[in-house]
Amino acid sequence: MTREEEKELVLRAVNGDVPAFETLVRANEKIVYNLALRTLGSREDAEDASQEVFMKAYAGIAGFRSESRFSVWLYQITNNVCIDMLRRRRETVSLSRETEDGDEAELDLPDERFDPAVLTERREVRELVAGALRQLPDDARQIFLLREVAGQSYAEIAETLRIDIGTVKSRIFRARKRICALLSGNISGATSSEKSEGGVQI
Amino acid sequence: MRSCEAYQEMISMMLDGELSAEQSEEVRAHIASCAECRAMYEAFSAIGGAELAEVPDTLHAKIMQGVEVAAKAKRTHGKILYLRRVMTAAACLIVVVGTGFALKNSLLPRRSDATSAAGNGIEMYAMAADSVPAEEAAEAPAEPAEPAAPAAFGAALEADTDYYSIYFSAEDSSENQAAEPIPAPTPEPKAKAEPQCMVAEIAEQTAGGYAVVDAETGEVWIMRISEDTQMTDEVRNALMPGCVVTVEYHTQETDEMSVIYADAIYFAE
Repeated sequence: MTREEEKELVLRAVNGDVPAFETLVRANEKIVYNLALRTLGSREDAEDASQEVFMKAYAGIAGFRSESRFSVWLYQITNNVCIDMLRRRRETVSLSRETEDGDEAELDLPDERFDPAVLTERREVRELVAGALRQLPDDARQIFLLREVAGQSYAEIAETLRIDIGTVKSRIFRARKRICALLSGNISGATSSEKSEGGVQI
Repeated sequence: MRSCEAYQEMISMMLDGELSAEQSEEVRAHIASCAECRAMYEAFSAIGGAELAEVPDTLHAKIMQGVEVAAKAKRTHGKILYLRRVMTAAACLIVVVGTGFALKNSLLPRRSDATSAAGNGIEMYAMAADSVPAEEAAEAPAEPAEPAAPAAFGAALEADTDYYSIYFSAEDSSENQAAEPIPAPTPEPKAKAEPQCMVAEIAEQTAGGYAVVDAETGEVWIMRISEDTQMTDEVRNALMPGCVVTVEYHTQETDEMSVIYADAIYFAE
């Protein structure tokens, strides 16, 4: 969908054209659902979250400024809905404490090395990553998902999260390192100890 | 020459397509000769590339159902506000909209006879088990407060009977949300109190809360039940779609979207 087409649909939706809004729903529901699924961990919750996201989007569409892409705005809503749900469920496991200026304290994460060659199945890695995501602090998971699931560029992520691009770069880098560290910890002890020299400590 | 540390952050960026062709070349050349950085490149590559789950068959329909609720409210009332910034409530004004309303009297524990309308047979029932000011409640939503017994709550009300007032109104509200005061000793609310009440129709229940439509403005809200509210199964079962309730609520500053936290819910027949 081009930006022009999107603007047109948004305008029609503001005027109560539900089928126009439905086109926007179809274009975005897969990613919204997947963002929610990876954040909340349950299909049922992800479905409820998705519904809430689009209800709020329809209700508030008059307030959407077409200078941004619709998806940026939609993912902001998605983030808020998911964070609310997590807070409600009190399932947020935060491994870090934020200092006052938002820097995350260094974690006491496993020292070992994640060597993907050890895992033969792509699917194995995916499952481990999904598990690692649940253990990440909210904002690390959020930014990783916006990059990997929503496929947003750094510029788009900067817009969605209202941070600058430098922060986007470093947060994504740190999120990847954390995930690798968590994966290293999850792989069996025997495997880790057999790691060859030259593995990187990340 | 850059340090490995610099290269490592560039590896992350390269995987995201955020490097120029020249920069990517430079990084690839480095990776070819540095085992440590190559290992990071391989690890980062391995964890990337999400496989998106397909949207379940029923989800699209479910989403559009929710949208229809919002659309209906918009059509009926002509507008839905995107954002409703309200002050947190220190006290609440209970409003019952429509004439001849009688409140269901079996579902909720009685609060206090002192506040019931003499001669109308209208009684008020409270669900909120404590009278923590909404600001405090908003600041510490995650801490379940010790629920005070309903009797204690009623006693607190008696001591401060201007905390709540009951009004009937056949029309939509004025800024005080009242038209005719009922013939009962119910003083005006204190000036400092910001009334946070609405009459709303339950639209849908989701894991995130109840979607409700404000009967007065057509706004769609997500209503969440406060952690420290005594919710009984009977009440929960009565919060069915189509049901019209009066809600005392507070909001939180951090919420950008339309979320209300219900402190008390009153049912109308």
